[in-house]
Amino acid sequence: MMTTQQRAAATSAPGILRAPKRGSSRRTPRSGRSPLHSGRNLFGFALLAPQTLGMLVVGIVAIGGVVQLSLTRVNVLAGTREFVGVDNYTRIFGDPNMAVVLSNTFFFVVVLSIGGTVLSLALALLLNQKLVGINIFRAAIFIPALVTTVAWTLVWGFILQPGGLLDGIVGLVGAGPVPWLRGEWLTLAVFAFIQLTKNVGINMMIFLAALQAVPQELLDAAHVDGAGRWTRFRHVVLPQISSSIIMVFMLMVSGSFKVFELVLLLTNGGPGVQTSVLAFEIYRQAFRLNDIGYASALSVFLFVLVIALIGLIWQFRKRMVFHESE
Amino acid sequence: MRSSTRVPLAVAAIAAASMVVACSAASPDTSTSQADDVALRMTIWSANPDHVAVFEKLGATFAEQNPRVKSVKIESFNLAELDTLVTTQISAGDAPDVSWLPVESSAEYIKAGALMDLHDTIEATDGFDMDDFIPSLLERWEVDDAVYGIPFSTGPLIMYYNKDLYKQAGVKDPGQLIAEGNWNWDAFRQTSKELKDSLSIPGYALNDFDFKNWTRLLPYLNAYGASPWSDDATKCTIDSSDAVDALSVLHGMTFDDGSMPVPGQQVDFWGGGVAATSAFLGSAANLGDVSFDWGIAPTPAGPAGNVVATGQASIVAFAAGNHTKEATEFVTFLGSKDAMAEYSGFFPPIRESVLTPEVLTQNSDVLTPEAVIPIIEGVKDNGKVFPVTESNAAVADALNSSLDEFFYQPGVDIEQALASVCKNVGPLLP
Repeated sequence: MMTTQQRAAATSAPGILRAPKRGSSRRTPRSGRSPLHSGRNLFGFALLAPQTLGMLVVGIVAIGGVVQLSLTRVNVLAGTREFVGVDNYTRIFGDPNMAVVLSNTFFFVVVLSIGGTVLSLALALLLNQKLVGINIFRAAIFIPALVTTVAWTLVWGFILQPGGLLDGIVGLVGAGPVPWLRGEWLTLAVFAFIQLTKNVGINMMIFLAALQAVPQELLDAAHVDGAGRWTRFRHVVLPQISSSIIMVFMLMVSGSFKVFELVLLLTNGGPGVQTSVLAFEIYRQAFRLNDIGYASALSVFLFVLVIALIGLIWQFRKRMVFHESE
Repeated sequence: MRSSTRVPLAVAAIAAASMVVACSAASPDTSTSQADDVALRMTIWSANPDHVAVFEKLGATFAEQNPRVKSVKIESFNLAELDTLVTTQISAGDAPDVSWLPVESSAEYIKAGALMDLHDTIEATDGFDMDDFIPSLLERWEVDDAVYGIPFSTGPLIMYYNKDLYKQAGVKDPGQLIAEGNWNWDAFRQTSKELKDSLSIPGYALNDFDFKNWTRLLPYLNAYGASPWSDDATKCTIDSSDAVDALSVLHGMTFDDGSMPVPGQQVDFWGGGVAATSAFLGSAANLGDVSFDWGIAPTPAGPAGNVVATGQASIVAFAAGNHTKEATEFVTFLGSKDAMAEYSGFFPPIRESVLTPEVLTQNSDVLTPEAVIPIIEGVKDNGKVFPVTESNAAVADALNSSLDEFFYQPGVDIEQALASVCKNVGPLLP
């Protein structure tokens, strides 16, 4: 007897039929390439070319400029540059603030990527029901994503200020006032919460769309096989939406490296550098301390970190995403 | 080729191409224009239409008098963006020709060679009358014979207070303390606490402070004869006994008395949410919109007397500008007696001839000549311009950040906290 997963794979036959075995996929187009096919490809490339070229040129100049600046000591006021080799990079590892800044940065990466993905999936499952007025709940969670981050942060600034709304609420049970924006890990946790609630709506919508695309017949088949609710979710739903999960996870990882407005507007990275992150440190070095060379080295460091992490996840996708390894 | 080798090769190719393209990018052209149709650009940090209009009018007059100059364009921006704007434009080879510059940045810009020396142009200008400038208020912009800026606005930090709130609390207001001859930080701390205990609102707040702007601590420090660093700006002195005494008053008012807002707490004097604030004289424009009876006074005195913390901004010509000769002439023109008289109604000048109560209040709907007389006397006799250092950006960042980390906390040992601040700031002083 077929297992639920095998049945699920078999029932989604159109997907498998479109994915021929290795080897055949390369032979077919080469041997059967027609003038019409080539012309269509050429037309496609022509449509893509202007945008791709534009992005490449802008990207290449920008990345190259940053790499070049990172190898120099820049005196912006005097308008001079001095080549210093990799000094700015070695400075990163000797910077006493960097231990705090990097640990804060990775705290956000872990909490926002894992927490954000799990929370938005949980909300999507909760709201993937046909109930009267369910769209009101969906909209309530999605609306913060439409608000600009600056406005969202400023509102939270008022809520969290000493004697503010949150202090009033905890005061009702005799607690507080709590230094929401003054206490190291508490402040980071508050930041993570604000950032999560801001963006969870978009990810929830992506999951909601993926969940609604899961074929009902697969779920019915699993049900007939006696699969319970958890088994159906684990062996039918999860594989079907795995590509959405990996996409959301990757977006959250790259996005969590760029937490910036919250830090700038609520704590300015302080007290000291207790709530600073790498993106904010780049801004501080470049525009407050005028140390463009070091800021550029930090930018390249951040770029490499993001690329490395995304590359790692991309490699893992073959194991995690259904059909991806075929 | 295997895909695993193609990807690194592609990345390497893009990186190499990036370097080639970026390195071959044209370097900024900083040559000085010799054309007869020079268009000067001047940046200011006010968007007030009256301020913009007065400088546009002066620019037009200068262009009329100088055949080489076709026009002068005034560009407004936010003071907080000054460094970003200027440094970005210098890097791009498109620096503004003329700009306002706060005194805190003076030494750093001068040391970097970013400012033009105005001395020769001033000497060559008939009737400039350099002796009319109050010497003590010009010294931040002079190095030996060189003059790097013309101070156009020299504003003291003064006390604004809400008479209605003091009356409501049954507490003596600053005006009454002055009349009693008891205007000092200890007396003001006491009345601020009484007001807070009576009305449950802060008695005092530093305007434009938010625990991120060390210059707003200067009324305390100056009154106790303290300074964040030594006169030659080589040694951190914010841990001196005078500074500890001065900042103990602020710390006590904030964390013991509750008469000043704690970090993160939002209060608004102009909306009636706090009884007194210290702000620049220019903030008097806000008084036109308030709904309470108000008063102004110098900031309280201390053991070192009644020293007036004085902010300053100058008009400078950037060395990286494309028309340095014309820019230097324009700055000198703006520093002349006639031109300064045009804008002295908005910005307190340091020319004796125009630093008068009548000129200072000519554009104000709320200030009277009688009200500003003590302020002007204070600036002339006891005005102390903000201290400067050649590493302003780094020192200011370290000072603000360290004070936030060690000092703006409840229950700290103030001596130890300020010693920790100096440990961070000291190495940055040249």
